[in-house]
Amino acid sequence: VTSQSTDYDVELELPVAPESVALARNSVAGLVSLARESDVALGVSEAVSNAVVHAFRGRDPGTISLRARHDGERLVIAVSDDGGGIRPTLEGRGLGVGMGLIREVTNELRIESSDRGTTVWMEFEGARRR
Amino acid sequence: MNELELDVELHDQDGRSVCVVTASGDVDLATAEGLRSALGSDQVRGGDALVVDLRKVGFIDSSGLAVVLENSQLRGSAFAIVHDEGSAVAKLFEMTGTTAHVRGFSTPEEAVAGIEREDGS
Repeated sequence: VTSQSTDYDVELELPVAPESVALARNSVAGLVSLARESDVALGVSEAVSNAVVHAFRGRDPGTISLRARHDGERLVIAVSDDGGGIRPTLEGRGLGVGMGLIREVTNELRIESSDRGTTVWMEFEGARRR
Repeated sequence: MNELELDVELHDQDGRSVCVVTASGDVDLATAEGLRSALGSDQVRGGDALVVDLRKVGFIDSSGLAVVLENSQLRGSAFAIVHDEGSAVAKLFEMTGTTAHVRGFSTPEEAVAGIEREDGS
């Protein structure tokens, strides 16, 4: 895990491994208001899980990164990978409900995906910790 | 807390064995497989019914939900979970519209008794 000092409140690189899911949750926990704590934890967990499970299927593992910063009362979190992008697949794992849950717990959700990777942008209103 | 601890107890209820698995910690991609393995172990599968106590689970995501739903589908009325109202577990079931797919109780004792009544034996 690599942390960097930037304009972001949190910026780190994570290995493509299941253990990264909890590392990502823990890295943003200190930024979040109690009211949005469970929403942020679930959104981050699902986004990083998706990257670990799907992004590098059929290719060498690369890197997953997480960036988080406050924008007023909002907390903006981006989970990125340098995998193969979102592709149709016949292989299934889990329930495939992860993205639906992210949509449920965020106020804004944007997904950018290409053959160079995927970034999931999540925004949480009222998430600034007092 | 990011680890998941699992405790297995066998209860005899009117001559039937009910296995109660208590999970403590977080259930996510890293720990869900451990829960899946535990619920599929010979010791747990040997019981007539299975109760999974999730009251000490502080966080659960879709990886954990999948394990619970798999077992509910497999065991039908001989499967139940225990969770607190308003907990992370309850919220996840509500958000995914799966509350009705799993029998939920407030205590292991109620769950053990409920399973026995449901099976009628």
